[in-house]
Amino acid sequence: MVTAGGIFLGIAFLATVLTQWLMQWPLPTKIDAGYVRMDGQINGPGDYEVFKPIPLADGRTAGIPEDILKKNMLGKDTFSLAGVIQGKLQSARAKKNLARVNKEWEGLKKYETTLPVYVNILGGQDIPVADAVKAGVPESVAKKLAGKAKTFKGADMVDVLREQPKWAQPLYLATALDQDISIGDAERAGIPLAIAQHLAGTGKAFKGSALNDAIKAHPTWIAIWKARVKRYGIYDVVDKSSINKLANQYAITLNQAIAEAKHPDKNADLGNVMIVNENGRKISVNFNTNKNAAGETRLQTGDYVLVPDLNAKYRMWWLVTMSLLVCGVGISNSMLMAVTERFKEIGTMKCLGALDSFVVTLFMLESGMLGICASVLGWLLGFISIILVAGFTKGWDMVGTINPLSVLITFFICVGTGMILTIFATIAPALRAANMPAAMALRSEI
Amino acid sequence: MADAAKREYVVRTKDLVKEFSMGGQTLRALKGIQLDIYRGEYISIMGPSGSGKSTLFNMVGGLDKPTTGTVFINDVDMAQLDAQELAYLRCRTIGYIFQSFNLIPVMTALENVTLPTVFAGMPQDEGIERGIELLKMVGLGDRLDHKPTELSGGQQQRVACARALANNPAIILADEPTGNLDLKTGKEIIDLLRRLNKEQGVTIISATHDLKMLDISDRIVWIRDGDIERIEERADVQLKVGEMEGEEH
Repeated sequence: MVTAGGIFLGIAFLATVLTQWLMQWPLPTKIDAGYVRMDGQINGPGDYEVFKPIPLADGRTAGIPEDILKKNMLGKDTFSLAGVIQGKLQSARAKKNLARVNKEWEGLKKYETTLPVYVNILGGQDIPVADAVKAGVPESVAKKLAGKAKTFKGADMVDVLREQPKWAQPLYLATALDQDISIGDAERAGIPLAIAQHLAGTGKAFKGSALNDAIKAHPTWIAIWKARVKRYGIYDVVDKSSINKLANQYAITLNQAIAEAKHPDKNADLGNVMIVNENGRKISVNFNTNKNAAGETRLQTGDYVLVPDLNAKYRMWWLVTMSLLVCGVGISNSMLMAVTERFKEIGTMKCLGALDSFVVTLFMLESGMLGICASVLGWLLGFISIILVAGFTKGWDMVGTINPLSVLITFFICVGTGMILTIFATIAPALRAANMPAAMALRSEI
Repeated sequence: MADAAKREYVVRTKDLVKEFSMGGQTLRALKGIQLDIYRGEYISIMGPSGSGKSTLFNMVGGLDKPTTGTVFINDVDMAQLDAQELAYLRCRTIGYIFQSFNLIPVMTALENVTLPTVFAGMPQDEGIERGIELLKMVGLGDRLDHKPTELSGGQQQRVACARALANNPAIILADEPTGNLDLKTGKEIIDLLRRLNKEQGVTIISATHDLKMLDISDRIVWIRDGDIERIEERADVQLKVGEMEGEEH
């Protein structure tokens, strides 16, 4: 029962402390270049620009063209560097996408005129023989269906296609018969994989009519990306080094970021502010020890600033205290039971010549050893549960970043606290044992 | 027979009174007892429940202190002893045998027997030697490493007897030693105690109901209502004990 108390202690203590420890370093979700994100006690809409408004003059000196400066103006004579950075990113992105849609068109264009024919066949329309022939239908077959007319009925062609004639390509066949086209079949027919996957959505196949719509829409996309390339192409002139120079010069400080976001309320734990970045940057900032230094910390693009809640801290300490109390009572109670159950043994010892101090020492040692075992076991169980929780909620790579030194420290804190608690909780029962008269050995019941 | 008059007393009581307060009332368990116990004798204390038998037993056994009056154990006034001295007395001067054996369950027979020597400060090797010797004497030389759960009741009581002798005490205090044993095993213990009394010369004070034990006692103290009713010498006791032996194999 002491073991149970100790385990309980270990888990409760460790769960709260380690949770605090591990959850201190949240990985930021993707933050746009040129921006920082504030979280926790600091609320604000979305992300904040990491640069102060930069005077136009400095922009010109850095070699940024006038039209770009004008496009990103922030006030009378300042401009937004984040806008310029975003512009460059958009340019690169637009170029990449244009190349992509052009390549896709290579695969799609041969179906531009032919696929609609089969969609019309499906729709039961009258199909001109000439169009059908262009779409791969043998002339003889088309003429036979049309008879003397220049068109034939789509429904008739459907009947023909149902026989799966050799000349019918799988893609056309599936379209006319309204069957599913699998991603594999589409790929084999030359449809780009990305488009096939997009058409299939969460499933594994799509309909020919959907493909037809996509093909019809594709040229529009090409036009869109072309326009974007043109629009953002102006940013290609700006080179990275000038941006970086300006960035270093004009990056905001933590104070400025906090000021721009809504102010933290009095529950903010400004002693434990954390700055984390996707590039691996991790800084802990304490406003309580050195307000100035803390406030002057320079932020970088992609920084994620977390201002925790004091209430969370208080809650943690409250939980720890309560669990220590409960465990203390539990340990004391079970040791007392042990003493009471062993009245004969204690009485006998005293008859054999044991001093009161010997009896006390006996029980203290016993519970001390149980305390160590229970604390270690409790620490282990708590540690494993925390790892599992952190892994499943925050990701397993997060778990890999745990500092072994802090793990060791929590081990010693946990076992140490367990030991001290066990010792204090056992004092009263041990004294009770020591005061037991030797005549107890003769009694048959307590 | 001239020595008889000069026989030493190992326990003497004078106007021994013990009172317990229960609620508001005081209960006089012992009302002024005079009892002298000779060294080397085998004395039994008998009496109905509530007679003060257990109280008197506790007094002469160093397990409790009197309210008024004196108890001398080996010429030492019990009431003057502090906790440490009392422990010393129990360790060296008195050996205890209990009705429920009271062996430490997690220790082997040998460890149980050597435990008093540890409290007496004897070096470990000496203690082990003495333990082996004692266990052999009670006939358990081959069961040194058995735990109490691996021993029968009779064997456990024999270990307890060996333990009681560990520090060569002047007195052995036996509280219903045969109470938890069957007839045959009880008889073995009685024989052992008689042997110890005769060979080792150790005084045995027992509280018992077992009539077979009365048979080997030198004297019997009958107590009733906190007073000694009579003290009988063995020769005076007329006992008709029905023979009801178990089968002898």
